[in-house]
Amino acid sequence: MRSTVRRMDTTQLLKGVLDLAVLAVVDGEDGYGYDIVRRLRDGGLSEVGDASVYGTLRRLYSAGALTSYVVPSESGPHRKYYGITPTGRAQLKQQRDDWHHFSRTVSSLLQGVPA
Amino acid sequence: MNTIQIAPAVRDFLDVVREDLADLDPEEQREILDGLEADLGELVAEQGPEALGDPHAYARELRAAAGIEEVAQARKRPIRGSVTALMDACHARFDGLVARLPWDATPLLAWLRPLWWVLRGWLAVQLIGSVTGGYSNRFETVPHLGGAGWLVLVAAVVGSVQLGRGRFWPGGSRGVLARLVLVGLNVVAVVVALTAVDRANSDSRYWDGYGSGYEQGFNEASRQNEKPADEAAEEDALRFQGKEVSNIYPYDAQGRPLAGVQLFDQTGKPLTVSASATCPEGAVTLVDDPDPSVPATNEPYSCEDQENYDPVPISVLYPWTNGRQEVYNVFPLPARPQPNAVRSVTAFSEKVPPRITFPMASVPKATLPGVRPGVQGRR
Repeated sequence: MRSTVRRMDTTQLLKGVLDLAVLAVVDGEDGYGYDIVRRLRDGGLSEVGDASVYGTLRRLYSAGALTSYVVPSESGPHRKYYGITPTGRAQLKQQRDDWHHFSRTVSSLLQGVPA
Repeated sequence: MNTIQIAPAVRDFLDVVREDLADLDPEEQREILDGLEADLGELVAEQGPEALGDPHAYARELRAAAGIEEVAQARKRPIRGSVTALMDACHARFDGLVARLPWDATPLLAWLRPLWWVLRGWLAVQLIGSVTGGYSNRFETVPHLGGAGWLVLVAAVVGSVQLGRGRFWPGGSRGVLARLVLVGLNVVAVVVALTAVDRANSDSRYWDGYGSGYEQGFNEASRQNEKPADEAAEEDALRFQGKEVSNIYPYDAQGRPLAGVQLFDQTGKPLTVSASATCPEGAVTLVDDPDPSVPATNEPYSCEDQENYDPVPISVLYPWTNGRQEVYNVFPLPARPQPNAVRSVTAFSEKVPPRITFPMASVPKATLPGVRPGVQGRR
C-alpha cells in the first residue's frame, strides 16, 4: 500500500503542476476520473494519488476550465466524463509557457552541478 | 467484472468518504462523489479491494486537491473557525511558556492536571453547598447537604476526574462547543475557588469578632443595669420589656384583686422585683442622695415638679416579710408617699402607713378547662 504521508507531500508539491498535467491529459481526449488517473500514471507520474486527481478535476471544473457530462452504463454505475473548455485551453497554454520558462531557469542553474 | 462482489467494498469505502465530507453543501458533495463509484469499481477490478486504502485519508486528499471547498467552508462558519483558532492560539502560547521554563515542567503538569480534577469536584460540591445553604454563609470543608455531603463529594470528584480523562462529553471532544463548555466549567470552578478562599478567611474573623464583641457588650450592659447590693434583695430584679418591674398587681381568675401572692419562676427561684421608688407623672426624678456615707447609686431619691422645681412626694414601695427577712417576691408591694426614698422602719405604725392600691377595681374573668374560677388548682 502506498504511504499516505508521502502521497500528501507529493500533492502539496505538485499541486500547481497537477493542474497542468490534468488539463493536458483531458485536452488530448475527454475522460472519466479513473481513466485520467491511468493516463497520468502511464505518462510517468506514478506517485500521484487518484483522490488528488479527482479533487483537481473538481477544482478545474469549478473554475470553468473543464466541463463534465454523465454517461449512463448498462452494467453498473454511471461514469462522469470531463472535457476541456476554451477557458481550460487558455489556462493550459499559459501554464505550459510558465512551466517551460521555469524549467529552463532551473536547468541553467543546475548547469555546473556534476551528474 | 463481478459487480456484485466488488460493490460492497466500494460502497463501504464511499460511505466513510461521504461522512467525512458531510459538512459540505449537498451540491458540492454530489459533484465530488458523482461517478466515483464507477471509477473506484474499476480501480478495485484492476488492483483488488486493498487498493482502496484508508477512506479518511482519501477524503482528506480529496479536500486538499479540491482546495476551493475548504475555503468555502471557512467562509461559511467564520465564528466557529475564529473561536477554535483563538483557543488553539491560547493553548499554543501556554505550551510555549512552559517550554521556555528553565526546568522540565512536564512531570509537574502531569500530576497537576489530575489534582485539578479532584479539586474541581470539591469546588462543585462547595458551589452546591453555598447555593442550597440558605442564609448561612459559614465555610464548611464538606457541606452538610442533608447528610449526603460526603456522598455527593465522592460522586463529584469521580465525575470531574472522568471528565478530565475524556470519558464523557464535553471532555475528550475536539468540537468547538465542547471546548467552550469545558473552558466555561473551569472558569466557574476558579471563581468558586476564589470565593471559597474568601469565605474561609473572613468566616473565622467574622465569628470571632462578632462573638467576642457581642459577649463584651452584653456583659457591660448587664453590669450597668445590675442593682447595687441591696441587703434585702440579693437576686437580680425582674425585668419586662427591657425595663425594671417595681411592682406586680395580681387579680384572681374571677377578676378580683388579690393581695398577698408569692411568685416563683419555673426553676423555683423567687421572682423578685426592684421595688424602686417612683415619682408621679410629670415630676422629675432626682437620684442624688446627699448622705456622703451612702455610695452613689442610680436609685431614685426624690422628686420635684417639672415647672416650678417644688419638691413632690415620691412613692416608696415596702416589701413583705417572711418573718426572717424582707421578701421582694410577694405582691403587690404597698406604697407610701414620702419626701425621699429612704424607707422608714416604723413606716407601718405611722399615721400614713404604706398602702396597697390596685390600679383597677376588677379585670375580666379568665378560665382554664378543668379549673373553676375561685377553686385552687390541685397538682
